[in-house]
Amino acid sequence: MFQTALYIAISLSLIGLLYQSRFFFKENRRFPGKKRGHGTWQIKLFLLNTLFQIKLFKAGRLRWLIHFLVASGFVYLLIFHALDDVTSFNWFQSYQSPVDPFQFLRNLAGLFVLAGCLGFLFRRMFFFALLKQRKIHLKGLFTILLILMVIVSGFLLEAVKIMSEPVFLEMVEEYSDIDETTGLEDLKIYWERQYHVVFNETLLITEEKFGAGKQLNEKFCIECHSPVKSAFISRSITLPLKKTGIFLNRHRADHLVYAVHYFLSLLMLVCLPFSRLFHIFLIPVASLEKNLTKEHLYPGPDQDPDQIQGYINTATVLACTNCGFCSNVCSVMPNFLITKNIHILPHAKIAAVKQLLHHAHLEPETGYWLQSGNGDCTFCHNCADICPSGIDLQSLWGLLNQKPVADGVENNHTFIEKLSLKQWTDLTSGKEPLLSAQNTTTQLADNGASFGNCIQCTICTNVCPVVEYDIDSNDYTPQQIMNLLRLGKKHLATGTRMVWNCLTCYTCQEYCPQGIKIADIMIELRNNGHLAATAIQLENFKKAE
Amino acid sequence: MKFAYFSGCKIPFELNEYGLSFEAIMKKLSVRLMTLPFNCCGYPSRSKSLEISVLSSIRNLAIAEKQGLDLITPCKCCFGQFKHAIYTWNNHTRLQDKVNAILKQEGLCWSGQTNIIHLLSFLYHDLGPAALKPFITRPFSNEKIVVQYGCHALRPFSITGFDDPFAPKMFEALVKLTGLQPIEWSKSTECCGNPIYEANRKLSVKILESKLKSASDSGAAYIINACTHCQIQYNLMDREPDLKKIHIIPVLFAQVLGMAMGLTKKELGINNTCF
Amino acid sequence: MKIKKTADCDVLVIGAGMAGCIAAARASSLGMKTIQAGNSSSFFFASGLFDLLGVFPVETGKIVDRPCSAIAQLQSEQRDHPYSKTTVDQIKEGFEFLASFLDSASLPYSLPGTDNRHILTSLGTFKPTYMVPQTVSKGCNLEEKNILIVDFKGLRGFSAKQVAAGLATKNRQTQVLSIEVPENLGNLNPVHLATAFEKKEFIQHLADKLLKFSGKADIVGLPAVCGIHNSLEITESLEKKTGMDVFEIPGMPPSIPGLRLKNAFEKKLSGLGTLFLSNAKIIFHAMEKDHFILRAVNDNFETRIKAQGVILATGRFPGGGLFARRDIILETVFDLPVFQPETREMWHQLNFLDPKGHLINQAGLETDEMFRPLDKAGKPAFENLYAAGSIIAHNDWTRLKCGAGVACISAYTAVNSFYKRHL
Repeated sequence: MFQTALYIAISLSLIGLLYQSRFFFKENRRFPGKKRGHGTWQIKLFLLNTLFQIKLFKAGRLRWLIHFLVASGFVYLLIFHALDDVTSFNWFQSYQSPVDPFQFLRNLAGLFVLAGCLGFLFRRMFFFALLKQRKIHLKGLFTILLILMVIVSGFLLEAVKIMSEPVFLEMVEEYSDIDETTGLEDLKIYWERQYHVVFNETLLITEEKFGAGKQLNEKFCIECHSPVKSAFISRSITLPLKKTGIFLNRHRADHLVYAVHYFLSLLMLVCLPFSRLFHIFLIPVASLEKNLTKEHLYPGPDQDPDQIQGYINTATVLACTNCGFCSNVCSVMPNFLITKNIHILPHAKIAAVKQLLHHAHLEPETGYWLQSGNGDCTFCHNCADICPSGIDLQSLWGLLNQKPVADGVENNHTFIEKLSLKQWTDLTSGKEPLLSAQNTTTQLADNGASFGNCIQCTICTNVCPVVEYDIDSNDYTPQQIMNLLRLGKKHLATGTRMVWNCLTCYTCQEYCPQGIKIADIMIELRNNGHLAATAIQLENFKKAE
Repeated sequence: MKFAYFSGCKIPFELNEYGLSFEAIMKKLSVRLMTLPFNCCGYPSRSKSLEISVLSSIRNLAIAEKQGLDLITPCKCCFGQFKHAIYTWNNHTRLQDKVNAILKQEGLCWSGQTNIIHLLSFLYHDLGPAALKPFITRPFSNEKIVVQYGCHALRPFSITGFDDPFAPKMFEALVKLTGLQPIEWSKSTECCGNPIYEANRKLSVKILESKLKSASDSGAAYIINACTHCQIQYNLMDREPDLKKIHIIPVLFAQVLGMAMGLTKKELGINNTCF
Repeated sequence: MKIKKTADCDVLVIGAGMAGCIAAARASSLGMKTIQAGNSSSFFFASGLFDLLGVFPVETGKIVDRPCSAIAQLQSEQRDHPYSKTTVDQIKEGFEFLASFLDSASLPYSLPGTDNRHILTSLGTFKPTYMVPQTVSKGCNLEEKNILIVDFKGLRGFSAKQVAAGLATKNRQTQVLSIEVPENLGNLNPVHLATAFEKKEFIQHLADKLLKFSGKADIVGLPAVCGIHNSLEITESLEKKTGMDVFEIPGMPPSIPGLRLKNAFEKKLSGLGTLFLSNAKIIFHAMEKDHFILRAVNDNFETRIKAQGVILATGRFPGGGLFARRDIILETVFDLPVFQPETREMWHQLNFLDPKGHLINQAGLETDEMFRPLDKAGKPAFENLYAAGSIIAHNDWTRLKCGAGVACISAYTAVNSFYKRHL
């Protein structure tokens, strides 16, 4: 039965793996510009991260420790314990599960995993890693609890087996010729004391019998049974359980717990492709390829500037474990602190990307905040540097910039540019309370004293490089923008090309004979334009619903 | 001498040779640099929101103040942005209150004591040409070069106080020490075009093209930059077909100075053969 | 919380217009440590021509041919005029200094002689002036010449036809040519056009167009936009390519010859070690013993300046040197007494072009012969405070056509006086 279950579990798991791996090969139409090539293999990182989780080590020692405990313990148990039929038994002549060093190591590995899992849980309950928000991801919690249950059931199994009389009797039957007449009672006495077996009878203990039992043990048992002390965890569970030992033995608790342990392990196997455990595969894949190098930031001369080069292996997006390290080091955290747009921060951006992958659809409002947040990204590479999963995060942000992430979503400047001045003025007229800058700008464009002195000498226009070089014929010149303000046409001004093409080189401001802060005003008009475009776009999305 | 090193967002990934050469020359000059967990200076967000750009800069100043250090930066955009933010913080009470309140939540505070200086100002005013001269052990031969001053440090003078905004001389004076020969260039103080590269690529490249051509026509072999964004803009020469043919090479001052100080190409992140 | 700085100097020049820059030029050339604060964009309103005296007496509108003799008359009739505080020789010296300073800044001017030149303007009129840029000088003598006037489509304020019409009475043949600038539609801004002149391809394109007239014209008049930085080289290059003489015609602001002056002053002054505090406002703080303590204030900085002498060249109303309230005119830095009409009603005539002129234009600071502004008692307000330029009273420069001259002479003399007394 167990065998069948195992085969079923393996099959399900493999099917699941294949299904989840669809992202390794599938080209997702949501992401533009996917052409293979130009990525580079990072073999060293691949090895170091897969084996030693080196990126996590660099990001946070304590979390690395917790993780490494689980990872190393788990790997040990998987290879040397769960698969011992094909591994340990073949590799080590003296291997038996109760034999040292294997018994000890198994307990130690189990302890590692236990400690690590408790560490995981403890951190989630009490330590707010990111933005002082406690956020418990159910997927991660499920995986941790599953692992924890496997380990606990394993310890429990060993504990129960240790004190199991039926198991003892089965062993004696199979591996010796001892019976009641040839010293079984002696052996029992020895095993009751030394190995904590609980017998359903009261044994008369004498030193002589104990000694005889010891000899029998040495003859038949000790080769495969190291002192139970080395099963230090299981043993410590056995001791308090001994009180109920007779009851447990009678009902073959060992069989029950074995079934639980076994099936939980199979469950883990089946869930592997769908749980956090899948990142065992995903992280190595993510760590392997560097998708975006410096050269990709700008397209080459013979390439279409609207298509970014560099291939995005969308599987790498799934390697994200929501650890939040990326956002902790995000250079534009201040942007979030002011705007509260969570989609500025990498951990939220990648979550949105995951959603795009799975559902190929984002609500326009979410999409708006995502592209706005991603527009704030300065491509500093902090997030990609630290990501413990080895995801090339920066390449994702580059791709997000290429096309609208949801229908009808545009960055503010493009939105304004597409409208005629009349359309823009119509949209913004009568919306003053909504668009009021609320004291958050330099407060020049609303204050007549700032530009009232303008004598329209055109010096600013004459020294402006944008006016000089603009091939598309600029709409308004700097001194004309000042005039628009004097006419009370601030909102019209926010829609002009001049305002958005301004280099902010401050030549106009330095030259102005009247000391007008022309460039500062241009920037403030952009601030106003952003406020207006955001409000209008959001309003449009609401109307569309 | 010790400073908090403010690299800005564009050095670590896009232009890390500038970071390498900057750190190398600082080390040679026995200037200790401390790396702190800074955020973006706020310059890219200035168009979007004044509050973001001011909070960004002030937060960095507060982080440096905690260590009792001034900031030094090799990027002129960062430098200019900090100066603008300081002005706004000083003169916009409501914004100052808001920024202070946000910083307080993290246990940060800027009292106005910490300051920021650009690499060139440090070399010229703090160190001085006389003190720098002995370090120049391998001067260049008298090759003709022009300097790209970089607008955001130069203007507006009332905010940055960097150099004479119309007839600056700090950069040329420093370059001269390395043996190179700065010559007159009418577009030395003109913008490189980088600020609108994303908003209007065509115009940005057109400005750059005109500058490159005029620099080349003036007879210079190199354009020397001391700003991350200027150099990134000039590096477009490698990518834009129209620009590739122009006979001039943009280089970073930190690398030039480093070579004249006897540092190796590897230390300075120079991996092409233009020198 | 501005950043506090300190600076010491021999001379602080307040103002970076014509008078301020000439003062700084003289001070630096004499080796004095100079600080200058202000904004030089007023140069965009300067034609580039230096008037000494163009019309005198103003009531008759008589054009002056020999300014030095006219000045002698002016000195006897208008004792309060700035020129009356100095001598003709000193005036000549001042202009020679200015010419040599500009020459050393690679902006050559044609050295003045005894006579005024009559310069063709963009309105087709002839304006009397004393010292002209080399690029303009060939246009001084247009008698008996076959002239071609060129304009540029989109360059406002300059029409070849209008200029030619002004010449029609004097010359037999004036031809016109209108040039389209490649890649440019709509308005041409003078500075951008002048920058285009600095490109070889543009000069070639222009020369090719002009060559068609090389048989028919001896001399070509262009609007004064022939480059910003090396205007003489550019006009000479055009001359070589076309075989015709080339001269510039000054026009409306923004003035390129004015911009050339600005650049020349800035570059040369910077080279001489002048500290220029662009757009800084000067606040007078106090006198301490024998020197001034002032503060130069801008957005992020406050510089405490210790100066032995101060040149006040802050200009009039646009520049902020004088401030007009409804009832009174004030001087904005030292609060010096301002000579002005007794009542507000007397400031202006009703007719803008009234031959009597407007009394307000003669308002300003009265000074002694060293150009030190006077206090209410008629004594120099400060031992080492000097005034230069249009802030000085009794100077109806727009009608006398003596603005540049007053700026030059007052600045030159003031600095010289300070230098002599101080060192």
